[in-house]
Amino acid sequence: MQFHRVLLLLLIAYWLFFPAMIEWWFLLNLAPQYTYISWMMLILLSFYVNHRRQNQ
Amino acid sequence: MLTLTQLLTIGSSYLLLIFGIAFLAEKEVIPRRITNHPAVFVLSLGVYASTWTFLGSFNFIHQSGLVFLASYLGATAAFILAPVVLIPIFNITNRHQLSSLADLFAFRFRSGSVGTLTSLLLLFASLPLISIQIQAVSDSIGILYQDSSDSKIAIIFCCSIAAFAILFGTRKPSLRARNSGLVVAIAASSVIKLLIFVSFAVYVYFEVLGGVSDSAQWINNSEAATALLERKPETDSWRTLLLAFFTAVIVMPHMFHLLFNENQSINNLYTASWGMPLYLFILAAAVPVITWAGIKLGIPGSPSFTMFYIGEILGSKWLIIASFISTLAAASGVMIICVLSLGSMLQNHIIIPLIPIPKTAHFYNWLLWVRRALIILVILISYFFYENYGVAKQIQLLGLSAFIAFLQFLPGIMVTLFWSKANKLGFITGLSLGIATWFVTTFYPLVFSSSTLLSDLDIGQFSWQSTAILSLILNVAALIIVSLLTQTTQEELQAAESCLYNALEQPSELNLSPFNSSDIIQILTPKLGEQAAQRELNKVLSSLSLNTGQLMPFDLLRVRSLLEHNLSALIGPIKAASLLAPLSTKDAIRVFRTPDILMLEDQLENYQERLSGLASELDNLRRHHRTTLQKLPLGACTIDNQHRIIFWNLQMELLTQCPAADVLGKPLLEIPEPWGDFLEQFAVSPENHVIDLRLEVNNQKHWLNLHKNQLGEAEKFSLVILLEDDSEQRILEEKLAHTARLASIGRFSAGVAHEIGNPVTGIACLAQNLSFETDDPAILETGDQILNQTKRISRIVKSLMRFAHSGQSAEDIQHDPVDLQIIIDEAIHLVALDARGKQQIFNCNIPSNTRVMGDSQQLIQVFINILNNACDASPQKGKISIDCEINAEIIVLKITDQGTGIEQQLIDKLFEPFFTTKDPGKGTGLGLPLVHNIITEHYGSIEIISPADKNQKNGTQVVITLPGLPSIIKNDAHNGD
Repeated sequence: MQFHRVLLLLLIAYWLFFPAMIEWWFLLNLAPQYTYISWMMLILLSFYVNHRRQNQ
Repeated sequence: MLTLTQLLTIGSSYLLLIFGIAFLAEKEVIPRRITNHPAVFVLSLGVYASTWTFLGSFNFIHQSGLVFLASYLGATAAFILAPVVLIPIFNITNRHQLSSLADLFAFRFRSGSVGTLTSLLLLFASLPLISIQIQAVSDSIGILYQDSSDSKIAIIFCCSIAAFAILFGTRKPSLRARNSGLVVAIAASSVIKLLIFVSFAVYVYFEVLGGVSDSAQWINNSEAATALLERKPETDSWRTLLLAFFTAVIVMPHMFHLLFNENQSINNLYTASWGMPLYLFILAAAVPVITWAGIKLGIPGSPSFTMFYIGEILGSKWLIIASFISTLAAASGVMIICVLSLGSMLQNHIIIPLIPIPKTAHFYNWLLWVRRALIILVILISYFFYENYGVAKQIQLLGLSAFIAFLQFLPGIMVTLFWSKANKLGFITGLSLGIATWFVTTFYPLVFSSSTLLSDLDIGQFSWQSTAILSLILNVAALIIVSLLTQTTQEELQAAESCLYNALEQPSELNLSPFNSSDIIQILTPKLGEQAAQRELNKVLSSLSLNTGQLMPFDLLRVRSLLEHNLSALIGPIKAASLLAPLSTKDAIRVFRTPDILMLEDQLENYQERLSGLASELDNLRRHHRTTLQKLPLGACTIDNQHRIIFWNLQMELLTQCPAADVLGKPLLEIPEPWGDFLEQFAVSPENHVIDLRLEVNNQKHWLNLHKNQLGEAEKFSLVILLEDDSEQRILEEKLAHTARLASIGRFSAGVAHEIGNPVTGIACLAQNLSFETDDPAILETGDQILNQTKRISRIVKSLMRFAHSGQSAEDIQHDPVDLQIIIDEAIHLVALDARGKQQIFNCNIPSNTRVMGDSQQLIQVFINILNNACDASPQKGKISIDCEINAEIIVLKITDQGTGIEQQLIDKLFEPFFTTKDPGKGTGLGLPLVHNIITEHYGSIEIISPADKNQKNGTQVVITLPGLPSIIKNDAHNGD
């Protein structure tokens, strides 16, 4: 299995790209509002996915 | 304002309320459908919002702005990723009955020392977390009442927590047993926390900030309020905190306990995947509002207690009560579950390996008392830590140090799920290095050197983010390098395989000699005591529907597996495995054996949904081959070298009437007679192919062909046996022979009739001439008798000729559309001419236009013969009915009389030529064979049912089936009386 290699890749991505993404995000004008809105969207998406799974 | 006594009474009342809810749930006064509802489980996970998340957030938002969201977003990420992180862990813990993180690691690395190390380090890492809960409660009272004694309040709080944990967390000896009272109480405290927090935020939003328009205006004008959320946080803090809180959801003892121990279904985790993020979202949304209100009111002290200060400044006793209860709810929930979980870890990994269970002690009671003592010990240690090191520390910094410590367990979790090569040594080295780094760089400066870790959160010369990441990197690097450099044992690899994502439970090698249930009790007794051993074994046997006594290898494998899981929940996975070690042996040569294969099949069936990629494709291929074998129109079975059945297909079930579930794993000889002996004899015989073996099953003869072949090269290997039932072929052959015999009789009859005909004609002529040659009445009478006898001979000869001609080929017969109603009416008319026919009542119910393709004269002959027979058998004025049914163009004619009926043993012989039941001279025995031949030539069939009337046991019914013409139109029945 190649899971440990994938894990290593994720670690590298976390180390290199994650800070850049966060920095870019907080440079946005309405960062706090966007954070809450995205968070809510993610919750709704999870709810929808779970709802669909239950009805399958 | 409130007095201290009043506040303490309110606090006690809250704790009593929680006690009451737990008690009602335990007694099932609160119905099970509520206590087992997914919403209750999700709300119980709200325990994550401890005083750190609850109060520490206000400090964080003051110091670092939006960074406070990290604790909420990190946990949100863990819950949203439930299908790839939480559910696989749930599967492992549920399958192997693991009750804590220490159990999980001990099981994965097959080492008691790993369990002990994990337990001790988790206790160590949890101390700051528990300490801040005690601190939050005592400080909140300290803020309101300067002269109150912190120690006394802390002691009261700790005692209440210990009492609750012992009362509701140690009711059942199994660590995996669900404490519904506890879960409902924690869920209730989460609801209280949420309601208070949201209500508080809404209240201050309107009362302090002035509602929608005023608040927006004030925030825009106030520099402090604007800066609150616009402060650009350090990206390093974000990254580290997100990872730490992501890990905390899985690793923190109280979260692990609720997620995997108190949870009974994967569906609950799916619900939590959106439910918990929503819970955290609501909490997080309230934090900035309350903080703005605090800024506007100018709170005088630590931002952690913003809610208390707001209540004090506004002079509202209700706000103070709400703040106090929410703090109490946040602190008590975490402490109760955390001490419970730590207690169970210490029991499995410190006490049980070190202290033998006294022989006189009752096993289950002993376990419960040990756990209770450990809960008290953990609370004492926590109180000691709080008193000596925790007091006056910043809550969010102590909590932070705990979360960084929990981060050190993340590599262990990841390798458990994704990397099978990681081994015990690597894990121990990595964890020790990580924790040591954390201790030196974070814990020691913070706790012992009283470093303040001020706004930039620096620890000594390194920032805390750097030291957290450094400790994690050292941990991961050591784990990978040591694991790669050292040998992973076979046992560890096996455990690793069963822990991997998509893992199958590997069937372990078993000694083939069967065990007796009393042997298992003897193995368990030294550790559990005889009574507990007996009880555990009985529990397993009844859940597997097995009886005591001799256990076959496959059953033994199932018993051992379930017993190990159950004992794992009582005494931990390592102790359970070592206790049951005598039940398994290692084989040098790995060969598949019956229990292995059956277990593997069983597992693959259960795990189908979890297979993906190549594994899924291979499983599809396996299913295809298996279905092919299952549905093979030949009976197929496979037996191992001990002649135990491994495979038994559907045709085999049909032939032997033995369901696969009853025979799999059993020796051939044990399957019901006569198949057991029959197959066993063939299995041991030197012949690989045997045909036409006759076997009588339930008074029915079967002709069987058997084939077998070895599945491997080695001698005495598994065999595949094919069983072919040739009975139908044999019956057809017999019918063919019968028809051929009839045909030969026909040819013979034609010859005989021709040869007899001429002399009989001569005799008849001579007898007629006698009347011209003499007047002697005696001679004339003799002449008449001769004439009568020659007429009789002629009639027989004519019948023979007709019978012989009925056997001619189908090509010689002209088939035309024939209306059955006309044919039967004519037959009735002809039969009624005879004296016997006149005495009967004919009832003909044939719809008009019921047509078949056939020869009308031959069909009239058929019905005359049948109706004549019916007349002969019927009493005077007997009723003979002719009915017709048309089913999908098949015409079924039923001719029923009310005669004496025919004996059962004679029915089979009725179509034999020259067989008759009539008196000598009255029947030739050729009528029904002739009928049979004619009907067969018309592609039909004939059957005789007697008695026709089952109640009165009389009458005969002749059922003739003929193919109808497609143009059959259903008309009303024609009555031919």
